[in-house]
Amino acid sequence: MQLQNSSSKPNPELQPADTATSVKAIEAWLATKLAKQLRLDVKTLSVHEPLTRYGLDSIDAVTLVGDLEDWLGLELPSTLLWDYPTIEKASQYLVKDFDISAALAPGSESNSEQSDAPDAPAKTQGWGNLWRQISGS
Amino acid sequence: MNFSDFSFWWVLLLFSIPFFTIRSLGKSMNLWWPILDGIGLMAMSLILFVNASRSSFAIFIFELIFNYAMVELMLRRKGQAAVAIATAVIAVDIAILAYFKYLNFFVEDVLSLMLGSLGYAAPTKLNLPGMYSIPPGLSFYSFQMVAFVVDSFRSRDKKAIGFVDYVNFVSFFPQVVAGPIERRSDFFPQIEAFRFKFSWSNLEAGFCWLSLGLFMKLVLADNLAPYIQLEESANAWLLWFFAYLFTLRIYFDFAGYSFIALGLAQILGIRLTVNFLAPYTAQSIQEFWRRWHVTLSTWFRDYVFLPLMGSKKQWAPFFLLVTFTLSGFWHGAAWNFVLWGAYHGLLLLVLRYAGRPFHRFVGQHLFMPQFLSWALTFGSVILGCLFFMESDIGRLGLKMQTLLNPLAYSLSNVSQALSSFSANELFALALTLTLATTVLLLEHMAVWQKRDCEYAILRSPLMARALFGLTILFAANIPSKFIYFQF
Repeated sequence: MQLQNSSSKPNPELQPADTATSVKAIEAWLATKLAKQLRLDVKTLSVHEPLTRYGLDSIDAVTLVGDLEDWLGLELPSTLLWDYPTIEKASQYLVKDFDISAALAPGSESNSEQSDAPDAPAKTQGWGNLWRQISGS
Repeated sequence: MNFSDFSFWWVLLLFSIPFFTIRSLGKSMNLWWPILDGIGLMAMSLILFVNASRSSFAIFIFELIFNYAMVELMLRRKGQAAVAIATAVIAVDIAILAYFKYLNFFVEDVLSLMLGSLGYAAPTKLNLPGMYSIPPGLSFYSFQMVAFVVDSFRSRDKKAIGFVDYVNFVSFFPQVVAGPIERRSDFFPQIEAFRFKFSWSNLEAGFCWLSLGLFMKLVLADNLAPYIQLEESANAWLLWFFAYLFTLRIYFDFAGYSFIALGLAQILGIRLTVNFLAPYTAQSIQEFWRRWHVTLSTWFRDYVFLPLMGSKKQWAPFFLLVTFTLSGFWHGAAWNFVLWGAYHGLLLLVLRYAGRPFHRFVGQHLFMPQFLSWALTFGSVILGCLFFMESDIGRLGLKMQTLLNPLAYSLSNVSQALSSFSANELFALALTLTLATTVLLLEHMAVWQKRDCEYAILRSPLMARALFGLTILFAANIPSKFIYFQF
């Protein structure tokens, strides 16, 4: 799967302990968000289970990636939750391929009350963004 | 390529023997350059394509040269010029597809309907060349070419594309006619680095896929095909039964084809996308669509759904419905396919907005919600297959009326359904269904055991040999056509 417009910046300097902590943090965020979106008990979610097993559909997948972008302050591939279909895989991919240290830093804006943060202005993706880039508007 | 056709294997053998003889002689004398492997693969693919369909080959060669020249031009341009070239290429590709596949439908069905409603006479039949037969593979290679244009446009890597590599990318013989629809990022690097490498591990893995594919197609799909009677429209029991048989047949037919393609490619050292991921193990329609015809679903996701939606995520349900309706229409220029696509789109929306609260309620009160989810999903897929299998829209209406009529479920209809098969037919059908159910159960087991691949059990070395033996024993005498060749 080709990633489009991704601002991917691998982070090789992360120590194993940091990596594990970051993965856990993203897993927790995703599980909380999913539980809220699908109205499930967060305790019933397994990070190893395919998200479709909890009823995640295409609409959820794109909106959840949008929320994740707002939280991490990164541009992510829209197909993230298709390509990495479990909480564990998606979290590991994000930690491995993106620089998420700023978003997870204690006291950072995005790390406080993530789920209640106001929606950021929607990013324009797809053909609209393509045209904007080309025309420079 | 029609893998059921003896001439495919015959031509493959007739090409391979002299080619690999010359190749081994050339290698022994240090006169074999790596590029010759690519040229050999190209020759193999094109000869097999000519053998499969000359009319489709002519269109394919035109599209291939046009696409290659234009993509090369696009890669040398920037900004609006590149956009204009990409748009023009995609428009031409889609126009060719539309001409052969949809023009007569628009004139004879859509236009007739519109003019008829306004009180005008219906237009006369079009008699343009190629109007009433879809060139084999056109839907698949058109989509692969379109995807390549878009991916090349988006790619940061703007280096020139080798002509032989491009030809091999679009004409690779195991998948050119019926997919999997491959992407530049996965498939093109493999083509660029292609060398004939017949390693033992590739041969073994390829044989396992090939064996599973041949068994699914020649034993299961082809033995189920003769039982499916489209003419039946009055007996509700038979309607459901035939829809069930067709649901099994279409999966074993198309997955079988895909796995044969996968096996042949693997023997050559190429890894194709696994196009089916045990779709009948799905416990929801969303999950079903992640497992069914994966490369087509992801094509529509990446090149239709996501670009259409852009940032308008609040419109996602509408775009989802549009995308599914279009994906139904891709299967053929007929109302039943449009209905089938729209039905699946609506199912997803119903599941989202009505099914979730219901599922939560049921989940707390029933002992086996997982089983119930699976049964409802499978039932919905079977109902969808009723639309898919019936291209006569009038008869489809009759069938729907029958299914909704409680009197059509009478006991006399049960006995009529049973008496419509002879003892021999019933025995053969029972045997085929037993084998089919066993295959589906082994897929379920692999999913339950969380194996790396849904077909891990079916592809184990011992099982592959057993399936190959069963294929020799039980292959249908009269192979049926691959269903997806008509698309």
